[in-house]
Amino acid sequence: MKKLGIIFYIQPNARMLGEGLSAYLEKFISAAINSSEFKSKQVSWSIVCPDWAQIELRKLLTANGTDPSKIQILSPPNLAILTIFKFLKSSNLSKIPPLSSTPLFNRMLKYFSKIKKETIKSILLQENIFLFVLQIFFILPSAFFFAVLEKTLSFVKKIGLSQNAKKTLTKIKHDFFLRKNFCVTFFLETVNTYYSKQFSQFANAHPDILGWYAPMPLQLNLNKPLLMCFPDNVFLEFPFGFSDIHGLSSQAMIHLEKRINSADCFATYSKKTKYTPLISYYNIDEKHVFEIPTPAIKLDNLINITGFKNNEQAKNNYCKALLKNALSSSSSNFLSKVTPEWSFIFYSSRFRPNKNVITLLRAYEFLLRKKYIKQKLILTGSIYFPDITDFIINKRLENDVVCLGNISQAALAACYYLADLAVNPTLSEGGFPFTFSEALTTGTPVVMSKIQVVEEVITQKEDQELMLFDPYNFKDMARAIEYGIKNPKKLFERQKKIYEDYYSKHTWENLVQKHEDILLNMID
Amino acid sequence: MRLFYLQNHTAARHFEIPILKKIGFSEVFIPKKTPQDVRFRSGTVTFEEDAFLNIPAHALSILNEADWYQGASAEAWEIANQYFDYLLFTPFEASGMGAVLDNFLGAIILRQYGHPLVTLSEIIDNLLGAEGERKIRGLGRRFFMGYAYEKQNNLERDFLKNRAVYLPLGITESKLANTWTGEDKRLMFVCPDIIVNPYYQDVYQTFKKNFSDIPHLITGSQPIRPPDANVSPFLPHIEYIETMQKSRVMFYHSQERYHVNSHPFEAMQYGMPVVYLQGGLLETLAAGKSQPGKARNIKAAHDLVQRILNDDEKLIKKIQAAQKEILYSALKNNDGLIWKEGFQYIQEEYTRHKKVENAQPPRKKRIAVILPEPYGGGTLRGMQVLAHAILKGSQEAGEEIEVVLGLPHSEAFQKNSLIHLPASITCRTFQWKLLSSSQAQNVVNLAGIDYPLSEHTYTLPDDGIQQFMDCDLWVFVSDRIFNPILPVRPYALMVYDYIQRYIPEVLPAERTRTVFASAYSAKKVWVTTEFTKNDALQFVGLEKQKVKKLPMLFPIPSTAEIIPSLKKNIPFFLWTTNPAKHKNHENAFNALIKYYTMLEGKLNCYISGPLTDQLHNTNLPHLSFLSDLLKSYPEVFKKIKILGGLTDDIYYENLKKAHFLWHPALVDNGTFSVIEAAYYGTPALSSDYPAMLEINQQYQLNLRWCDPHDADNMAHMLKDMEDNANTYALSLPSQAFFKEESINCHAKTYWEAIKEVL
Repeated sequence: MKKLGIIFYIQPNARMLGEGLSAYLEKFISAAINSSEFKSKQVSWSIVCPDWAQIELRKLLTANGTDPSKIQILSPPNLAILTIFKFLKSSNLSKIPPLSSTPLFNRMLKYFSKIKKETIKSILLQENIFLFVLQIFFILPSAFFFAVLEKTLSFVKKIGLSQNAKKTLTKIKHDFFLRKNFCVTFFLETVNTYYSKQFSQFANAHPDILGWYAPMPLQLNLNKPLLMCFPDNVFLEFPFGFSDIHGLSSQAMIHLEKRINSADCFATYSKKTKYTPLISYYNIDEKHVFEIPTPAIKLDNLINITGFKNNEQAKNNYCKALLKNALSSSSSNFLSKVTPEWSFIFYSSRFRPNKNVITLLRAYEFLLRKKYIKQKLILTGSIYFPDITDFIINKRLENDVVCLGNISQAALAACYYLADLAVNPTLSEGGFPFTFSEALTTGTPVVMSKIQVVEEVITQKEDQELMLFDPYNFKDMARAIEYGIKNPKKLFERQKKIYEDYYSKHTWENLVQKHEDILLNMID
Repeated sequence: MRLFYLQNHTAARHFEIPILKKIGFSEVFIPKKTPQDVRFRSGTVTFEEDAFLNIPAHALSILNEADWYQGASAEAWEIANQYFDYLLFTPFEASGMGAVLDNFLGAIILRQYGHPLVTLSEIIDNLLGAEGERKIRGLGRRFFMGYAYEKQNNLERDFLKNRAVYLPLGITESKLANTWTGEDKRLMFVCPDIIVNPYYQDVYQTFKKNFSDIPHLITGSQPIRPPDANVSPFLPHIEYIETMQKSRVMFYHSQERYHVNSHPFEAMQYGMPVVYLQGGLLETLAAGKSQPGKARNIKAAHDLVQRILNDDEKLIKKIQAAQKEILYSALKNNDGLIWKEGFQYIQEEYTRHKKVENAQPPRKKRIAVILPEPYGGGTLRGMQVLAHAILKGSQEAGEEIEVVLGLPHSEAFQKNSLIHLPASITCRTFQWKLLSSSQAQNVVNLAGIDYPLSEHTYTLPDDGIQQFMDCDLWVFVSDRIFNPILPVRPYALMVYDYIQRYIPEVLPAERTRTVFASAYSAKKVWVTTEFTKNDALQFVGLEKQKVKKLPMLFPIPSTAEIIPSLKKNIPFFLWTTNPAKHKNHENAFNALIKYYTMLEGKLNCYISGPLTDQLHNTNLPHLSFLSDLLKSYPEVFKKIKILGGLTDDIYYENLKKAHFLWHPALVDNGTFSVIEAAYYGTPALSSDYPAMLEINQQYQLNLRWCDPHDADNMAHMLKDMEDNANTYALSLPSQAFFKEESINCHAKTYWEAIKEVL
């Protein structure tokens, strides 16, 4: 029996659940467990990840019916500094209840009583005492200070102020937000540098693991072959956009080349990413890059109801309740009173520069105000994204465009199911967008951008004309959306066929098998 | 005696129907259509009781077909009222609950079983707002709250507490007593709806946190099955009983004081040891007797369960013996004596109510039709026609009411526009009165309602008399009410359009939300086109049941006399407009320039409508283009004549003489001007948008269309009208047809709509 390892790292402030990677990991690991069991133990998998990710991962697996005890999960000892950082993070200022009901002091006591022995050990083992002092006494308090200022301004903004005063406050708040992010970035970057070293040492201390798979680009120094997933190219394509919103990511990407140099072979989700940038820009040998498309993400099991006389109606009612719930926890107060019996167009994605949300908004405004479509537009990004928020407010679309923010997987499934049409206006993705399988498994058709990764799957010209649009042209996007709204059945039937043809070849079991084959080859 | 049992909860029914029979209700009707909703999991349908019902078959079939939870038809309610004096129900949705309170004329018993998180008063507030309490108080002595657990009534506000009757919920005696074997060494835990119900999700997670080290089996129906091998798939009833007989021990989690599930009793009857947490209703039922199955906390419960699984026979025997006390308490109400007493009280009160009701002198209902802002033109006309239709409808139905018009106090407001109304419709002016939250709460409390208000300010139409409190219903014509209306009277809104969705500049953002708020609190929102109905659902987010489309009311113009000055025969077409942005002036004027300069248009253009005489000299930014245009094309503007706001007579005279009518607006609820034009035999050229398409269809106007966003197209269509208007005029419907579509025809529909909310 040969032992393989999955190695990954997430920053301590990253939300693991609900994001693309966690869905991917959960499915990958479940399939890996199954494959170990069914192949009479020729191959077995272990996982190495940070302590904080391990807790989340176990929860994630359990919630999806996979027993985490069936796979070995290993973590290096936690860093003291991160424990403190996590405490600061968990003290989300807006969520702290009044001091009288839960005194902060009690919470701190309770929290510190849970610190493990390993943590104390790691304080003592801290390599660079100067760095440690800097972190504790300067960087983290600064981040905390700016966070407090930012929150205070949010609070001040709520009291009756003139529009001008509010605008000025928004600007200052944004400034504090950036400063806070800078401190957080600086902090995490130093932690990353330190931790990645420790991380590699820890992995190397497990010689029984013969080959590694990293589902994301990481800077590692392993003494066994490493197959690294290279998901997408968005930083290179949208340097300006990403430089502004996520200091952390752009900082991290400066080290991309170092990360790439850590690996022996690469897996990409599409042909596009295989060639650009890996082969053509980073000069990786074509033989070392493997194209492994992602399987379908199915959402129907989250909302399919049984046991009723009319299960479809029960499902519909359940989905409406999920949407209503998501609306009432979204930022807009007036939505909590609304009964969402809406027709709507749906796009699920975090707001990122490559997602092309503004063009979608332009197309939507055109359809609403010139073509009089009745649908609302529901997005799952957070309203706190200045460009998009400004566009919505300036065009006075705030009552028709709903930004739900982060929602549960069940609510996501409900939104897809209730939508008249799903749309994906993206300009660039690493692989064929999940929107396609997510929408189709809930019975909703979808229109998408005509970009290379989509054309790799939707190859027929007549299909492309039917369901794709030029993402740079809002009128063409509007045309496709209007067609989709008017011909949902026709579109769905055709897409179902494409779905079946494509995903019958790409299952999670196949995916794990391919990774195993590549790794075993690399080991040999 | 006959009782309408408007609930389908299986366990409750199994207990309550036999009791009802015992106390004399030999005939019971149970609904057959239940909500297909995960929240309605415990509901089942039975036809068993139909055989005992002594009512005509066709009546029963109508009752069986009706969806009582959503709100049944008027016919179904008529039958219910004809054959039933008593109705017992549990609330589910707002529409169903509202329908019971509005439509059932006998004694209404609202059942209170207890909810883990909210009181019944809060449920009613959530479902119906202040209207719920007002309605219930309005029912007087024929309303009752039948509470299921002792002292539970004390949780509620006065409007329920004062009408409380104790109707205890017990358990059905099992035929399978003492059949427990316990050979399956697992802990049984009943937890339904794990995925779909946040409360049970929490219960499940807490259970898993505390007991996952113990072999366990979780039962209960799961509309969506959680990915946990310990959760059993759906079990048919027989298998469920078998599981209970074989499982070694049950854990019961609930510490609620006023609610308990039926499964711990089932288990106890079979002889299965039940471990439960102290503080809940099971402890109350044990009435202080020693209970070895009771645990102080989770840890103690865990220990007890572990001991039972480890074959601690002594403990099992002790628990089994002690459980008999609980069963004794739970079964003691099965003789129905308390129910009998309760229903005696209900009968007495109901009889008293009828006496009082019969003794009361009949009072004519009064409806206020209120214009919230000083609008002229179509809205003002619409208001008058609406008031007229309501009055006429009530008269025709033999249920005459009084109609009062409420007009905003404003100098700009032309009272002389109220000319086509019957004398019996009186008129008051009013001002909006703003109330702080504490003031508002005071008013509401003094009005006899305890409902807690939540907004910062409220508003009330103050007529200087009684603030329209003498009226039973307020009907606002248009939704432009910029503060929440104080909930002292039910109100309906007549909304003509939501132009702000398409042309946001017509209403500031913050006002849009207050306009929405006025719709959320309205009892009904009436619209006159599908297009506006769609906006009410899609844009505002109202529920389908709240929005009703009524037919457009077209006031037949009174025949105008010919005005001598207009006899000169200069060929022209008429453009009726006003300075609002959605009237699309820029595209329209550009079209006119093209029509006169490039297409050599021959007809003059007459512009009429309120404030049109100020089109040239206004500061409105969307009209600033006009001065430049005027300088560049002085010749063209010689052909354009602005008539301004005209009296009806002069307007109709112009309309009759016009070659055609032009309506180049961008979007709205449609305009009556094209119907009036057709009535006088004048064809019309209109912008192509949804509401106009609907008007065209309802009145068969054969309108010609132009694209309001395309000045070229508009110019060409003007030219086409110049050439062919006479031909188009031939295809217009006759005046007789329009008379058919007038108030006379639709008064009945309007009266029915009023009755729904009155």
